[in-house]
This record gives sequence, C-alpha cells and structure tokens, in this order.
Amino acid sequence: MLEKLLKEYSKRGKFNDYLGEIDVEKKDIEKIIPQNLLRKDFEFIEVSEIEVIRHFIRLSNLNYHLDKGIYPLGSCTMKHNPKVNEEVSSYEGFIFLHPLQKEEDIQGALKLMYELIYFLKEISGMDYVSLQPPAGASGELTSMLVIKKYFMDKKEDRKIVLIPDSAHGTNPASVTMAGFICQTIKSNSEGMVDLDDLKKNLSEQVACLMITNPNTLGIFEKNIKIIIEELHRYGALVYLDGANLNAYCGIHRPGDVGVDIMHFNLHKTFSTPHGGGGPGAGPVGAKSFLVPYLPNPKIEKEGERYYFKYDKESIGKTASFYGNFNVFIKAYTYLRMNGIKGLKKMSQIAVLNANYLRKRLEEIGFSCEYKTSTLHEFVLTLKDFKRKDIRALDIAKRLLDYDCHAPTIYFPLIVPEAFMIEPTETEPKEELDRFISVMKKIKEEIEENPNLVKEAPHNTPVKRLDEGKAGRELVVKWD
Amino acid sequence: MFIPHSEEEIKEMLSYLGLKSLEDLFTVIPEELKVKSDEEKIKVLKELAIREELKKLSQENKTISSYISFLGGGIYDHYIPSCIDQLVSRSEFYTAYTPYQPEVSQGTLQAMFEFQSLIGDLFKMDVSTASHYDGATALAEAIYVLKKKGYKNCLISSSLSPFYWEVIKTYFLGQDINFLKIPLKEFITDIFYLEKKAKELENNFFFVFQTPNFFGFLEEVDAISEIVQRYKGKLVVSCDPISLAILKPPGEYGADLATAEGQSLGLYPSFGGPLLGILTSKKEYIRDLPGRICGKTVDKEGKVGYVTVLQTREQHIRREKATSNICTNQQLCALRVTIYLSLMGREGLKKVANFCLQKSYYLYENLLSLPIFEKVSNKPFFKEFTIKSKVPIKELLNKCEKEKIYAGIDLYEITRDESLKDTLLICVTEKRKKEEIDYFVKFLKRSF
Ligand SMILES: Cc1ncc(COP(=O)(O)O)c(C=O)c1O
Repeated sequence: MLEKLLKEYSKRGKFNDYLGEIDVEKKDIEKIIPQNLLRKDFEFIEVSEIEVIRHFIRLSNLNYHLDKGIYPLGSCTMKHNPKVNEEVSSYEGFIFLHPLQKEEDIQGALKLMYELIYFLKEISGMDYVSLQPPAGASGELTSMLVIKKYFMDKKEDRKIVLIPDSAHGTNPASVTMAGFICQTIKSNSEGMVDLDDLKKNLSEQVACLMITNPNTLGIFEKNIKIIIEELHRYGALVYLDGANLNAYCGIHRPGDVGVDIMHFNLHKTFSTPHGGGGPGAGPVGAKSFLVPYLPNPKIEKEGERYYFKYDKESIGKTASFYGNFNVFIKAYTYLRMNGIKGLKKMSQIAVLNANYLRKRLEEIGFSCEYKTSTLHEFVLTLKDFKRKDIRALDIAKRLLDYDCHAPTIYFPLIVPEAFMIEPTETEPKEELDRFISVMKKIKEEIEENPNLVKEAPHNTPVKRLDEGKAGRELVVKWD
Repeated sequence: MFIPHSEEEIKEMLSYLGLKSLEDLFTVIPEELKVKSDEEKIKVLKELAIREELKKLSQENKTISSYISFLGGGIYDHYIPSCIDQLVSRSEFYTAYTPYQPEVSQGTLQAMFEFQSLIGDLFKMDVSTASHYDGATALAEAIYVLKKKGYKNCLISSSLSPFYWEVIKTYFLGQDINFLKIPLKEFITDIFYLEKKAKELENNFFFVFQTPNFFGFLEEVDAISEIVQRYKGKLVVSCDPISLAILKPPGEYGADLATAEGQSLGLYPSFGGPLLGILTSKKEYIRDLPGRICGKTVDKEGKVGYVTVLQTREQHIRREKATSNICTNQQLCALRVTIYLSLMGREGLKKVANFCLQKSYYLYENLLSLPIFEKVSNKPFFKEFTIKSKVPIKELLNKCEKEKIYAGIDLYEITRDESLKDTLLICVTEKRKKEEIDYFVKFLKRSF
C-alpha cells in the first residue's frame, strides 16, 4: 500500500474542535426529537488535523497532473489552468453568495453571467446561451430536452436522433436519457459523415442530428453546410457537440452555418481546471426560435439592472440553481484576458501544435487511420504493433514511465487501437519534442524488447492494476 | 495569452509543415464558413487589471458573510475549516483529469474510495457513487434507476424541495412514468394518504421524499418505510448529510436509494454551484447505478491500489444502453467533502449537528414569543423551520435587510403556492452566534 487509508489513522478520542463552546442554553436532544428519529450509534473516523493534512499531501504526490507535464488526452483539451482564475474566483464577494438572495443584492454575479453569455454568443454565433448545465453531458441532455419540447409543442412526433459512429459516448447516452432512439450514421473513408448514409436515414421521424465538429478524429466536416441543409429540409434540427471548440475560436462560428443548438465545455476550451473529474460547466447556446425552451431562469438586462427571466415554454431546470457559478468566474476571467483575438491565436497555436506533432510522429513511423488533414487533435492507429503483441494500452502505460500522460485510447471506436492526441496550445515546443522522442524510444523498445512495453508501467507508484479482480470483488468501501 | 512559443518557434514549426502563415493551417475549413470580421468584441484586460476588475465586480454583490443570514432552502452557510482550501488548492488534485490512467492517479482514486467509504458510514448504505452534479440531479438519477427496473409509478412527497421537483420534471419530460404528489399534513407527508396510494399501486410504485424536508421538518421515516415495505414498493430519500450525525440514517430505515446535496459538508454557498450530488444504494443496485464508482484491487506485485469499476455500465463503453450519460462529475467537490468529514470526525460532526439543532430551536422559541409569529406545525425540525408571520413577509424582509439581516426565505415567492402565503423558511447553522440571534429577535420586537 502506498498510503494508509484514512480509517487506519482513526483512534477513539481524537478530535479537532473547530467550534468551541455553544453559546445558547442546551436542551436534551431526546426532549426535542422523538427517540425513533434519532441515530442510535454513530461509528465514524476520528483523525487529528496534522494526520489528515499529511494523508492528503501524500495522496496528492501520487497524481500525475497538468502542472507537471504534457497531458495530451484527446477530446479533453488539457490546457494550462491560469492561476489568476483560482485567485479571483475565491473572492469573498463570489463565494459567500446565496442563490436565493434578491436580484438587487447580486448584481455583480448577474453581470458576470450576462457578460459571459455575451462572450459565448459572440464566439459561437448563437442567439442566447444558458449557463445552467453543470457539465458537457448535461449540456447534451439539456439540448435533447429542448429539442423534444420544441417538437412536443409543435405536435410533431419525432423519435429518432442521428449520431455519427465517431461520436463520444455521452451523445448516445444523452439521447436515451431524453427518451429518444439513436440511429448511427457511418463515416466515409475520409473520416467524415457519409452523406449517402445520412440521406438514407433521414425522414420526418428524425428529431435531430448530433454532430461534433471538428469531429472526434480532429477532422473538420467540410460538408457541414450541406449536412445541415439536409436535416432542415426534413424539418429536423442540428445539435453541435462543442467539446472541440478549441479548434476554431475566432475563425469559424457554428451558428453561422446553421447549427440550431450546441453545448460548450468551459472546462476544456476556456481553461477552467478539471479537478480530477469536475466540476466543469456545459453551457448550451441556441438559435432564437429555441431560446424560450432553454432552462429557466435566463438573465436579462434593463438599463443598468440585471434580472432573472422565466419563460413558460422552458423545459424547466437541469440543475438546482444557476449552474456551476464558480467555474463561470474562471472562464470569464480567461475570456477577458484573451479577447476574441487572443482566442483566435489560441486556436491557431493549438492547431499548429497538433499538426507539428502529427507530422513528426508520422515521420518516425506512426500513422493515422484516416489521412485527411486535422485541426487541433489527431488519432493514431497502433494496430501495426499487434504483430509484436503490443496494444495501444501498453504504449499508453509505457508513456507513464517517461513522465508523459497518455493520450485518450480506444476512442473513437472507428479507429482500431486508437491513440487520440490533443496537445493544446499551451504545450511548449520543447515538451512536444520530448514527447516525440519518448514515442520514438518506445517504438524502438517494441522492436528490441517488447516485454518492457507489455509489462509497463515500471516507474509509477503502482504497477498495472488488476481491473478484473476489482470488478469481481467489488470492494467499493472499507469495512 | 498563455502561449509558450516564441515567434521564432512558430515560424520554425510552420516552415517544418511547409506553411507560410498560421492561416494556412485552416485550409480544411471552407472559406465561406470562416469569420470575416476581425472586430474585437471583448474589452481585454491583462492580469494586473483583471484582478481589480473582478474584485470590483465581486463587491457589487452583498454577501451572506456581511449580513446576519438565516438563508437556507438547500444551500447552507456552515463552517469550513481552513485546511480544506489549502489542501484542494494543490494542483496535483485540481489540474488532473478524470483518472483514466489509474497508475498515475492513485491520489484521486484513493480519495474517491475514501469518499465512498465515509459517505457509506454516514448514510449506513452499502454503495456510494463517486459524485454527481448536485442533490437534485442525484435524486433524478435515483428515480431513473428504478424507472429502468420497470417501476412506473413514482409517488413524491409534496415536502420535497421545489427546486429538486423542477429538475425531476425536466429530466422525465414526456417520458413513460407517472408522478403523483402526496399531500402534507402539518408540513410533513400525510401518512394516511401515502398508505392509500401505496395500497392502490401495490407492487409497482416507489416513494420519494426528503428529510429534513424542504420546510425543515423531520419526516416520520419509520412509518413511511413500514408502509412502503408492506405494499412492496421501493424507497428513495434525499437527506441533509449534516443531520445524519444525530438523526436516523437511511440505511437504518431500509431506503433502497439514498441521495443528498453535499454542499453542507465543506463547500461554499457560491451562488448555488458547484455543488455535490451524493447517490448511495443497497448493494443489489450496484450494477444499475449511474456514474463512476471506485473499487479496491492490487497491482501485479500485489500492492493495493484503486481503479474505477463496472465501467461497462458507463457511456464510454455502453453508449446508448449506459445507465446514465454522466462523464465529468464533481470530483474536486467530493474531495472537499472527504477532507471535511475527516477533519470533523465523529465528535465534530455530532457537534455541528447539535449546534444547528440547539440554535435553531433557540431562535424558533424566541420568535414564537413575539406576537407576530405563529406555528405551522408541531413536528420536530433540525436546522431549519417554517413559521407563519402576521405581518406581510415582504415588509418584514425589507425592514430586516436594512438592518443587515437576511431573515429567511419567502416561501410563497419561490413556490407561488397560495397555502404558503406569509410563511417564512428560516435556517440557523452553527455559525450564527447567540448575540446575532438575539439582535434579530430584538429588532423584530422593536419594529413590529
Ligand atoms: C466530444 C465530447 N463530447 C462530450 C463530452 C462530455 O463532456 P463532460 O465530460 O463535460 O460531460 C466529452 C468529454 O469528455 C467529449 O470529449
């Protein structure tokens, strides 16, 4: 074991007294609350503050993280998290706000949200943005529900949602949760939506297409305009998964091509940290005819005053209150420091880094399944190494030994032994070059000593973990 | 900003790619689909100025820390030990992604396992997931678990938070599930009505309730559980985790799924987000649960380590057949809660809960001694209560605000329910000092 479990530090009688003495007259609990509503025994850990601190510091030492080195997880946009974001989002005037205070008392918060909405509108070309969904998948579900309500109100019974086979897993899962049925559309040999297959599947039963652009291969759907026109011809809508917005901010706007509704990932494109898995934020932008259906409340401005607005057509709410407000502050700060011009440069360098990395890796013998040019990310196929009994997973693990985080593996599903690489614009050239030399080294290792790779990782806090055992035994809490 | 390249490097990389300018990287985007205007729509400020700007913006808000606040209703102002901010600001925690490579994510994964364990101990439930967005979506997901198991009739107590109810209605928009609201008696679930409906729907229903409920009062968990079991239904609860140090935990009254909003456990009010959805269940539901779950295992040398388990339930593998669409959750919030629970420990949690209870009763009794208030219920409560005012609520709240007191929540305002006219929801946490409570009561006495 690397670090003891918290429970092993626990001893009866250890107590950190943060509250001190009570200042009101104390009553017998039993006199206030009937016996049958009270807890009989309360077994819980008791650990001193210093031990708690050391425990979590030791745990922190077991994590690889972005501040340490390259984190090229495709589709995740692991870019630098500016430290000023953390500072400003901890101001007292933000963290000690209660969601049920009067509008007059929270004008600063409403103004920040209103302006963030404005920035996102400008970047995307959408008419309004709801900040409420707490993550990308929630933004997808919100969008599906908006589309559902829109067709319910129009009394059109449309049950099918089309999804390209390269889509992220959250897309089909969101479709099912919203009560729609998924239909998969094939990709063509260029790695784009196959127009013929799309047309074959189009009908008046189709509610919408969920499309990611650039798609999960990093390829811009050059037929996006035609695709959208096809959908619209059948009265169906187009939803855009905006997880890959880092590819073209200030260069292309989905709203301008006719996308009806889309989500943003503030925790990808706009530099807010991932927190080891959240909290993020997945705002949804829509065209004006869908705006009333977006979650309540919206934020509007009259003169210099900001206020909440409720639409009766709205789907309701997809979070308890207004969404992950603290994340908004970070994205807002990042946007204010960049401006649209800064974002354009951001996307340009993200695409430069990805293309540089792709070409260098191809030169040393790695290859992409689809030869089409890519934007901010690309997907290698590592199927060639199967002849040495080496899989994408093995190469990912070996990268960890060289202090590189691994790319996303086995996604998208249409690429065998997929290795999806997104360096982002904040990776210095030196770090890209280091990554390239590590990949080259691993390639040589595969030829000379494949077991070294097969058995990797060797230098990490734990060696390869037995997931089978974990799944069979299902020990999901301590005794 | 934040681009680490020198102009020289950019040129070098472009020339390696055989390109002249950065624009050339985008030839794959058809020209007519490109943005034409170069107009700057955002007033740009760099770090020196942005801090000042955001400080000013933050000061345009009035905070509950500069008022004497009795606001609750789902978001609470509990004490947060200094350790928590310090520890979660370690970039090892907050700049990591979801632990896709467990060998280099043992910090996050072990903390996840400890979170599940601590929540399991607090709730006395077998299984906890790693986290959900908030209390409302955790509850909606719990309902989704039972819906997928074939339960079509969802009885819901009218004492459930109206905010949660809004989210549930949205999640199940146009879906094949019947919601039936169970009315209240003395501001808690009407047990007789529940029994009547349970009997009608025997074998194919589940009951969803909240305790302490939205109005602050404690539901009669034993009676509820007995009815649900007698008519072979399932039981889903949403509770306040802080209360569980002294109140009967869901595992002891047979809840099938127990959920909560975890904000009370070390998260700032933060205008209502980010929050933490807690979702727990009996062991038999483990394969039906949404979202990430961490489990214990060993590495190939036998060293103990942690991984996420039952991934075949999740969207990245099961896609349209997944138990949920959730991917990014609220891990850093769960980490805060894990640290909070460790620091407070057994005695600390009991103390917080007891302080809340004692102080809220202290205020309640003092308010009832004033002629302007009357009781709405004789039921016990925990840290929040509903009370009826004989003076118009708006006037009362406004007067208090001028005195820098947030007196509570106008229940009619947020529910538009006529029967809640002139009722006020008042919350007292351990942070409210006796002198603040006395000041509030004296002020009311003087003013009305
Ligand atoms: C293409 C794509 N869509 C959607 C999502 C879901 O976003 P989130 O994890 O914020 O729910 C992701 C995230 O991994 C993604 O890569």
